[in-house]
Amino acid sequence: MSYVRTIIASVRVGWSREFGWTHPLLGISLKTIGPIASTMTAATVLYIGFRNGTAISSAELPYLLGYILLGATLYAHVSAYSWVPTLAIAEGKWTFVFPQ
Amino acid sequence: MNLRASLWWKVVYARAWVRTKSIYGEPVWVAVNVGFPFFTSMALSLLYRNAGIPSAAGFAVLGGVMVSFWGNVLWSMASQFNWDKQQGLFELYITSPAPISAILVGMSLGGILGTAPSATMVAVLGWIFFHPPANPYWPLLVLVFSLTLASLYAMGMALSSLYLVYGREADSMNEALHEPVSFLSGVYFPTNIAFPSVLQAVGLLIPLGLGMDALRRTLFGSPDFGFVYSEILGLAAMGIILLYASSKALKILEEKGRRAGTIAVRMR
Repeated sequence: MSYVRTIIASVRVGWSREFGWTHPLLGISLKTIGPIASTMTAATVLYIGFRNGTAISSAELPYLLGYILLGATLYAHVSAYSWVPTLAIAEGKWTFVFPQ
Repeated sequence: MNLRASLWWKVVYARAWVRTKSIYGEPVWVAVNVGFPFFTSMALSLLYRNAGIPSAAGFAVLGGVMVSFWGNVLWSMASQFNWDKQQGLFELYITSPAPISAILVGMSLGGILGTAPSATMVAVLGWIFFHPPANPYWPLLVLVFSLTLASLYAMGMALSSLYLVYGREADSMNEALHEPVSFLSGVYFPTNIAFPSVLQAVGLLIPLGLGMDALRRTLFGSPDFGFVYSEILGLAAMGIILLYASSKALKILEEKGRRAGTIAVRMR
């Protein structure tokens, strides 16, 4: 049970850190803009390749677009999952939360 | 040389040295600084190649180079004063005789020096793997690149002044700015074939967008000054305006912070 309480406490601290400074909807929107923009970058590159290149047919485009969208949004999640704990540990060391 | 000018240059050197040394003092950061732009750049280069336009891979390689600097501007320039304030260093800056402008310029120079090797590695590896066709006139390329960096880092100085009034939300603002500005600026693709005119105009108002346009024209277009003179003038004007804005904003916010007692806040 103590693990559950620790996890709940960590979730509350993390939520407060990320969204405590503003309205939660605004905070979530700001967090969403980045992954949307990076996904749109990848989709735009695909679109340029389709319009100006010779290797992508009209029949293939929807499948490739789905592939790119899936990969780009998954990447946004994976990079966040790797970044957030790293930053949490680094901040914990700066603020002496973790034993040195 | 008068004493004040001597102090100014000494502060620039000191801040630049610390910034450069800190980047290479932590091997993990070297790997992160190279890895993040490199893998994104390589992925988009492969996408261009597999779409049947291998010559466009140069856009993605150039984008990887400039994203390194853009990330440095956001995370090591804009947020730096805010982090220094949290750690109690900003209090030392303002109580010391060191001019804040010299500290900002030193941070910029240190950031450029620290980022240059990772950007160079992205460029070299991109060249080796994809052989993008480039036809630069090197003096013009150096001029355009220098002006782009100058205006980018001037924007970083302006943002660092603004971020002084923020707390933790500065990190959230950086995360919200990083990718959208990269997208609107057309870091990995030319905006004139991807965006409608309105979005192109918005992108050209951002130093990164104007700089990317000028760099693409210089590297992959006609190596002629007349082809990019308007971009050069625009970048120079942006750099001057942003430098002036950052010095004014810093003075105003410093004065406001002194009166309200919020100029130096330590983490407790």
